[in-house]
Amino acid sequence: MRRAIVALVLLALAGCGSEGAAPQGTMLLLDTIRQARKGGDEPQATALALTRAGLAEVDYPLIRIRVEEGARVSLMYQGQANARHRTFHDIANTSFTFRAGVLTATRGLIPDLYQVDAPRLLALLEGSGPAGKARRIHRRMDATAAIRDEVYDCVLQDLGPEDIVVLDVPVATRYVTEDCTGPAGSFRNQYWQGADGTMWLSKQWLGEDLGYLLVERLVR
Amino acid sequence: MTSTDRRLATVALALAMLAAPAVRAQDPVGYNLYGAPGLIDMPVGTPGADADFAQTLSYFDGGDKITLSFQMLPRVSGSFRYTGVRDLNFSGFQDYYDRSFDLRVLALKEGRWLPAVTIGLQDFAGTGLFAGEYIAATKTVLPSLSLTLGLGWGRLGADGSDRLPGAPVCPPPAGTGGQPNADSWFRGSPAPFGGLSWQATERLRFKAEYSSDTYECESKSRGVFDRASPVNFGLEWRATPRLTLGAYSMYGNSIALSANVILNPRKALVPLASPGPRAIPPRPDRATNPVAWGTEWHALPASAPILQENLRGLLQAEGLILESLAVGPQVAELRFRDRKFDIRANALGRAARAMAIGLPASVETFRLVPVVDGMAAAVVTVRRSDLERLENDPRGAEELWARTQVTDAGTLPRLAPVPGRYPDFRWSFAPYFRTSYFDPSEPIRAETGLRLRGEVELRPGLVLAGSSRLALAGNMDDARPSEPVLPTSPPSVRTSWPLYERTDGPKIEYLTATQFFRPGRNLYGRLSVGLLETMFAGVSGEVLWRPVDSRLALGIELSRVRQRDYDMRFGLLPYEVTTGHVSAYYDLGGGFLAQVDAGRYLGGDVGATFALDRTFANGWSVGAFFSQTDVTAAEFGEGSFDKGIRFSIPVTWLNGQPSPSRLGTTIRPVQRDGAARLAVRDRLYDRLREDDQGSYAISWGRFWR
Repeated sequence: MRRAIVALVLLALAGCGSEGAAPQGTMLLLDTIRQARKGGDEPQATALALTRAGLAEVDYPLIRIRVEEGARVSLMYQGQANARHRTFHDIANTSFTFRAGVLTATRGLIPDLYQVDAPRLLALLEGSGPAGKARRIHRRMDATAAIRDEVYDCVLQDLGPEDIVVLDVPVATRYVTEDCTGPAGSFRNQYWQGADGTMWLSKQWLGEDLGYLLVERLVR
Repeated sequence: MTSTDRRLATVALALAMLAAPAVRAQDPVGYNLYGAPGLIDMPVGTPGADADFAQTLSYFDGGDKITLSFQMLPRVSGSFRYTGVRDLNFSGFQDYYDRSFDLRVLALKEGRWLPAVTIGLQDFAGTGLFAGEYIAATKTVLPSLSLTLGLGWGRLGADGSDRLPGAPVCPPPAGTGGQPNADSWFRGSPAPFGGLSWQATERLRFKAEYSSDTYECESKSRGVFDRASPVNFGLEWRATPRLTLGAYSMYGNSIALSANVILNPRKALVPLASPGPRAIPPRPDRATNPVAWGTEWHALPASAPILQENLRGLLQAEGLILESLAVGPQVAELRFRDRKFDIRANALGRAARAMAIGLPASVETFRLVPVVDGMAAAVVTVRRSDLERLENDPRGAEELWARTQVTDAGTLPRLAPVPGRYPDFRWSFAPYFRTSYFDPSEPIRAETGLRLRGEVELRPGLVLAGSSRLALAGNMDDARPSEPVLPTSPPSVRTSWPLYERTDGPKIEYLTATQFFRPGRNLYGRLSVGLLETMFAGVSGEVLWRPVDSRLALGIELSRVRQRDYDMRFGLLPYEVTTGHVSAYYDLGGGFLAQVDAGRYLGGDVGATFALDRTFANGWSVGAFFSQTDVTAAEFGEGSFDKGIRFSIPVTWLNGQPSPSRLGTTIRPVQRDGAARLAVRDRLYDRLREDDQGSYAISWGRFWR
């Protein structure tokens, strides 16, 4: 009996080693349950309280994103530009990549949108193509690293000028919608683009698990 | 049967299921008490989803069962089951425990008008008590309603068992059991069965069936329960997307309960939750900024150590370890060790990004060399301009793979490791949990205690490693060794395991010096000396031929070992043997890996082991094996010949954190002394499995993750 008590006490102790917590035995079991309970992500509960004055000194591109499900809100700065793509990071190194304001990939999100292929939408927003019917592909990677394509049939509409306010600043935009239907569901993406091509505000579908992504451009 | 704490996998899974939310398409029919796609006691014609790994626990007076089922192919599935019948008084045991295997083939896929038809063999290689064969047809008549009709033989037939007319109702086990009893399949008079499954709500399912199982032995002969009616009905509740609980009225007078958990390698328990990579910084435009592309830096003596230090830091930030860096004006070769990621392509991607961040613009060709146990495992060559161009390409994974070269690293020159890299010391101290199954007097034995492990790599490839455990509580030491069944049976090389459980105090699980090396092109070598495993000590050498672009690998292993003393310290017993195998590994495609090991086993018997595993890029694998040696069934004893199943589950799949660790286990219905192989650590093929063209090809999407 005494041995059993000693054993229980010891089991309650963390394993230790040169690699940090050893991924074996009881600790793994506990960790697995804990991870499973919280779903691997801790959403930030509060919205970010921001004012225009508070951003006066920011001289680098900055966006605010909000993920519908899970109430995650993050400020993201532009870490890298590669050709026409812009990658924004938060402090936890979750990243969102955009081209012409259209989300093309996420990294570190659960689950990620591995790649987006929407050539006709990009052409419309980059001024080289018309509205109308378009195809959009969401590429997703499963747990075995296999990539699967979700194919959507979409309709692009340019609904003309619309004045909006982004964090207390009025901006003149054109309003573009993208209505998509596919085997994995239907959604409507919305884009408010400035005359110089800046995407001031958008609402883009991430998928069934996360819902929509809201993106506001705070600093150009 | 001996075991390790890796068996914890099963427990971890079972518990984690209860908590884990996940998305899963509706499973139309579910699993039965036998843990096979089915109604309640009867099977159905529809298969499980491809790669489903189902665990079912059922309670019923007619037999408690725990079953592992795997949908090996969309049309083929198999099961391993452990059954206990209380008070059966059968085969010399009051409570009778039995191990059995099933095999099912979908003969006809469900069509618009035609039903799904499955042909099944239940308990096709056991003692025969549960042996039955069937053809089952299932048609989904409404989205929420399916009907099943079937015809059963043997246990599911009119005779109630696979027995001959006039034979006893409770058939005594035939011989040593464990052999396919093909001559009794589909014999005797068949009997019909059928039923329905109705998905009443998203979570609630109603089932009813007419059973053809007469339970002759259990009900009529032994009276373990009263079979008053052939009709069963019950409810199933989908508690979580992976867990279904069931309660049933059985045969008019009994109840049954069940719990079914379905795992699938493609759907992680917890999705990968690791920070994204750093973006690739494009180089300045060469036309407008030619100075940035200069190569003068290469002539400066200081540049090599600075670049090396930069890369060391960049890799460290990704959890990778720099072994060496050789930089030329246009080409750089980076050797690194990955102890972080579940999939190597992920580590290669992070290392390539580090090179793009840390190396001068003129360096266009990146040669990435993953190092495994000090051996350069492959050379992966990518062009920096491709990385820049394809990083955000919607088809970047496929496009980059088409431009990536994977070549052998066997003839690479020796490079000085990064200063301070060696000796590399690692250790861990943690509780452990070991289990042992299937002893009729105690179906589950367990032990817990503390384990101290240490490993020091003195220079690349020379590893001293040891592991010691101290048992604190458990009942493993109550087990009794079984005697050889015949004088000509092999010596007790494995059945003596209970003797190793009896002594107290710390035990040495292994203590070895191992040298890994690359003898030449496509060749890998290992030489191990010391206490090689829990029961044998000696010297073991292995050479593996494995071209990185080949589906075929060949290996040869030779060991001279002596049995260790039962106290598991440094003492040795008189038994000594030369054992060794030639091995062939063949990647059949689609994740299927075939392996044949032919040679001499620990007991001195000669023969071969055949294995087939279905593997997935993330480290999941489920497989089965059997051996044939010159030991006869009578000499082998219970089970007749060595066989078993094995599975491995990546830790990343379980907890969403990147890790190369896997949990797994090998389950043998019976551990005997025939076809017992030395359990030496670090067999080369397994260590190198992740680093070949085929493995990279199916997981290259992770390069960009």
